[in-house]
Amino acid sequence: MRRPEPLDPAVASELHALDAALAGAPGADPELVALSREVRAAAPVLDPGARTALDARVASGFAPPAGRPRARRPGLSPRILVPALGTLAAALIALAVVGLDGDRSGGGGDSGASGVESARPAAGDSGLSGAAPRRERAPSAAVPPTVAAPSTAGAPSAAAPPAVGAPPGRRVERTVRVALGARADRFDTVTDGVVRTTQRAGGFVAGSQIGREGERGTATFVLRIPAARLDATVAALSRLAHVRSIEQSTEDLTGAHDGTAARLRDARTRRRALVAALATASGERAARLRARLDQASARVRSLERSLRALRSRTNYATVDLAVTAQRSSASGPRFDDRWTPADAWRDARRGLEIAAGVAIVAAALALPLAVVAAPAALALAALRRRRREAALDAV
Amino acid sequence: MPLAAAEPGPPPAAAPLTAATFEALYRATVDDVFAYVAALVRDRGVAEDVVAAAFERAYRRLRSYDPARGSQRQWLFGIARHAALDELRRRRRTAALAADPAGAAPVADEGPDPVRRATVRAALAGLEPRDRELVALKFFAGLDNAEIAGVLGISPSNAGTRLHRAVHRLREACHAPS
Repeated sequence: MRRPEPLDPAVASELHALDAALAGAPGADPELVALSREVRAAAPVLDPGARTALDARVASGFAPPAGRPRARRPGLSPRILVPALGTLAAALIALAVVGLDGDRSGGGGDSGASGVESARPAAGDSGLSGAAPRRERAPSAAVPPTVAAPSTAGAPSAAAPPAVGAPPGRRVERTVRVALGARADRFDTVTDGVVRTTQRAGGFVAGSQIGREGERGTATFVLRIPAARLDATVAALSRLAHVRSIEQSTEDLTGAHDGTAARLRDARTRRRALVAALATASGERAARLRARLDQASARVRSLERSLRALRSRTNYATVDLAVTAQRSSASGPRFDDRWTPADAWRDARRGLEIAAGVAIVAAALALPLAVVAAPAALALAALRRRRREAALDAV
Repeated sequence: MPLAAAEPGPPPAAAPLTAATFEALYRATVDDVFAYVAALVRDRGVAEDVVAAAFERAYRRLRSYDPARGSQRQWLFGIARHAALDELRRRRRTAALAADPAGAAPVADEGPDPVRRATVRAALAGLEPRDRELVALKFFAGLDNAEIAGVLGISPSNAGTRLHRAVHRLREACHAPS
């Protein structure tokens, strides 16, 4: 800061003399006293009418004239503008936080079914009665954190209860994709629960893959569930952990099944005819009939395999299940339907983290603007001051 | 805010301003502010408008007054100066003396020596605008050198030096043969 230059002593002395003359001090320079008196006497005086009008305006607090309300611009007042902008910013941040949270919890992303509508299950949603996102206490059983090859061990035969949920006489294949999110400390319990729930329903694990690294973990299962127990089983699976998405699709295989069954009947009839013909044939004819019988038998076996496969697809529904471990400190309700003070603290901390992140991003965006705007504001202020001073020179 | 029947004194210079104390400040300074503004704009009608605008602006900005940054008179004259300069910028007037405050307009006191009085008026009118402003702030408004420096936005020593020169020129003009 530049230090002010001291006033010249002679100048200071004359200014003191002027002050003394203006104050009427005894011993003041008579010429300065006279000059002060003359200059003051030359001071313009406010017209009495104008003074009266101004008195009235001051007395009324500069109220607008009667019948003409003052044009107020409350939005431009900093006292109103700043809180309003602050409220708006807070609302935008809150909306952003809610939107992020909604994307995180509702959108899933682990369902593996891009382009297919995902939704939280609700009672009666997608025809899955009782599929509420709550879990029951699953028995603790360790699922080895290794990669397991697809397994079909223990797979029952196609002779399973017929599918329900489909119109009578129809053969419908049902597929359900479920994505669960579990806390890291419950990841093993949930994956174990998936296996046990499947076994209780009379189904089997057609394939599984479990990967675990620290607090991160992902498990995928391909479950085959008797179609008659699909809804109850999906509901039980949904109670194991937080449901992030659930989808269901169906495919009507009635035509393929009935066509295959009819072809199988024809093939069997043809084989029986060949067997009867072979009983009375001999020589070269018998050899030709044996060859044709072999072909017919192969045809029957092939059609039987196809029919079994079709019946398996309709008697058993497929559940593609994905379990993703979430960080233990992640936001969101606990999976036991209780919201404790610890949950509240965790949510509040998470909210503060998000708000701080938004603030940091906003600051990062605002900083370059401020770097540009501050000198511009100073330059504008200096320019305005210079123009104002120049107005005096033009008088 | 009705005007009090009794003439209240000006509020203490370092006290914060409120709507209640503003009236006292107005009564204590309105004549001085008008004299100062009229010396700047050199048009009585314009000066009346500017003074009214300045007091209204001050009333609306009571919270902007900071006692630590100067007296209430300094703050008020700063507002009046800005209002006057803004008006000059808007009108681009060149001080036509049709309504010269030192001319036909009423003055504080005609006194016993009209010739001497006319000489002083002519000397004031002949000063450079910046010198005339300094004389008005010192003689009409009664501000001390620090307050003048605050109004003009310059250092006190600079204000003192400029004021000394302006008074010197005024005295020379008063003594110059007409």
